[in-house]
Amino acid sequence: MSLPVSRRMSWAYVLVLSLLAVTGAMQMPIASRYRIVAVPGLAWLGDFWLTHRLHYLGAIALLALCSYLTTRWLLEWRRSYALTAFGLVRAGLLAGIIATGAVRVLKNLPNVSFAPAPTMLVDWTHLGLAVLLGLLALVRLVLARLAVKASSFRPR
Amino acid sequence: MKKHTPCTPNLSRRRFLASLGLGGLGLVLPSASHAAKSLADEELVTLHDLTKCVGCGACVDACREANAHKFPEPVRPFPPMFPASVKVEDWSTKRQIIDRLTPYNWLYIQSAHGQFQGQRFDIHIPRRCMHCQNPPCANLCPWGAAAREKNGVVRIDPEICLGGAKCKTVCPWAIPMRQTGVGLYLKLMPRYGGNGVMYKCDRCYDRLAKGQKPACVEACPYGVQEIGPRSDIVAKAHALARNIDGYIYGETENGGTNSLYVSPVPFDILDAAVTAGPGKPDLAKAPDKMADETRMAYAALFAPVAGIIAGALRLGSRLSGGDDADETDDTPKRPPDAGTPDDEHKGTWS
Ligand code: SF4
Ligand code: SF4
Ligand code: SF4
Repeated sequence: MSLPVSRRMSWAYVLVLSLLAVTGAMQMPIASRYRIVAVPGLAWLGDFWLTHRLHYLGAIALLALCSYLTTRWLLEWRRSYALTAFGLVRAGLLAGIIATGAVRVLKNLPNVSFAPAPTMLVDWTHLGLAVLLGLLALVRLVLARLAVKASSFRPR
Repeated sequence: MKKHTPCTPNLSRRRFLASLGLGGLGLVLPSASHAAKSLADEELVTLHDLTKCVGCGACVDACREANAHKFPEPVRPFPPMFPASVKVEDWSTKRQIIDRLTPYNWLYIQSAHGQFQGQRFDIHIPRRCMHCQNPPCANLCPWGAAAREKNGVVRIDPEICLGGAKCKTVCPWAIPMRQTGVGLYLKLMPRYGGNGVMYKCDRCYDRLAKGQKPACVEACPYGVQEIGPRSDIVAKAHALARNIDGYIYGETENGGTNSLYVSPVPFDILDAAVTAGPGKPDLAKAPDKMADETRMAYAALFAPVAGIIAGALRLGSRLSGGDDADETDDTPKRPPDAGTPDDEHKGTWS
C-alpha cells in the first residue's frame, strides 16, 4: 500500500513552514537588538518590510498547499487512510494559524480597523499556535527517532 | 462629532472573510453586529492652511498642556539591558525641548525659507503624526499596541506598547518616539524584551470623544487648522489649493493620510528647505508602504481556489488515466507519524 503524501509535497511543506516560522519570528523587533543582523548572510532578517512580504508569500503558498492536500484527502485518501492523533492535532493547529493569519491580513487592508484588544488576542493566538505546531513537530521527530532505535534493538 | 467605538468591523471585512470561507469568524469578532452602523462613520481629517501659519507655537503649547497627563513618568533606575549594546532613550530630563518630536512634544513647528518664482517665502509647518489611512505603524506592530480607529485616529496604547520601536522604523516619517522606563515591559522581562513605550500625537482622541476639537486646532489664533469628515475636508483642500494656486501634501502620501497641508510653494521645494532628521520629519513623496501587502491579500484569496482545483484535477486524471501513483515522478514517502495500519484495510496518515 502506498502512502499518499509524496516526498516532494513533504519537502514543500517543510520549506514553506520554515519560511513562515523565520519571517514570522522576525516580526518581533529582535533581529537588530540581538545582533542577528550582524551574522553574515542574515542582515535581511532585520528588514521588517522584506520579512513581512515574505511572510505573506509563504502564507499564500501554505494556503495553496493545504487546500490541495485537503481536497485530495476528501476526494481520495479519506477512504483508505485514517488520521493519527498527531495528524489531527496538526490539522487543527494549522487551521487555527491560517484563520488568525487571515484575520491579521484582513486588518491590514485599507479601511479596516480593529481595536487593540482583539488585535492583540489574534496576534498572540497566532504566535501561540505556531509555537505549539513547532513543538509538536519536535515531539514527533523525537518519538520517531526513539521508535527507530527501539526497533533496532528489539529481537525480530 | 461621533464618538468612536472601540472595534470597527465593516462590510469589506465581512466580504473578505466570506470569500476566505471564514464567514463564521465575523460572528465571533467583537461588535460585528455594528457592521451597518460603521458605514455611516467617516474618517476625520485635518486641513492646515499654510498661508495662515505664522509659527507662533500656540498649538505646540496647547498640545503639551492638553496631553501632559499622558506623558511618561519613567521609573528609575532603568532596568539593565541585554545585550548591553541596547541603548535606553530618556527624554524625561529634556521635557522642555519644543523644536522636534519627543515623547513629551508631539507637535513642533518646522520652518522653510527660500525663493519660489522669484519671491521670498517663509512657511511654517506644524508637524506631527499624519494619521495615515492604512498606517504601517499599526499594521506591522507585532503586539497589537498601535491601532487605527474607525474615525481615522491612529493611536498607540501606552498600556500595551513594549517600546520595540518597530512602528518608528516602518513609519515613512519616523514619527513615534520612545521613552525608556515606562510601560508593560517592566512587568515582563525588562532585561530581554522591550524598552519603554512609544509616544506620538493621538489626535486628542479623548477630547474628540467628548465632542471637543483637538487642542492644537482650537488654540490657533489664526485658524490655520480645520477638522472634519474626509469628504468635506478633501473638497475644501482642493478648493483652497485652486484659490491660491497651491499644492497639497498628505492626500496621497503613503497611500493617503488624514492630515492635509495646503501650501503656495510646492512641497518638493519645501522639503529641500526644511531641516529633516531624527524627530524632524521630511516632506518627501512617500509611496504607499502597504501597497504590496494589499495586493498579496487579494492574491491570497485565489490560493485556496488554485489548490482545490489542482487537487480535483489530480483525481480526474487518475480516474481517466488509471494512474495510481501520486506524483508519478516521485516515490511516495511514508510520513514520520503514519503509524502501522490500524486495521487490515485502512492505513494511517497525518
Ligand atoms: S498653527 Fe496656528 S498656533 Fe500653530 S504655529 Fe501656526 S499660527 Fe501658531
Ligand atoms: S505618520 Fe507614521 S506614526 Fe503616524 S499613522 Fe502614519 S505610519 Fe503611523
Ligand atoms: S491633535 Fe492633539 S495630540 Fe495631536 S498635535 Fe494636536 S494637540 Fe497634539
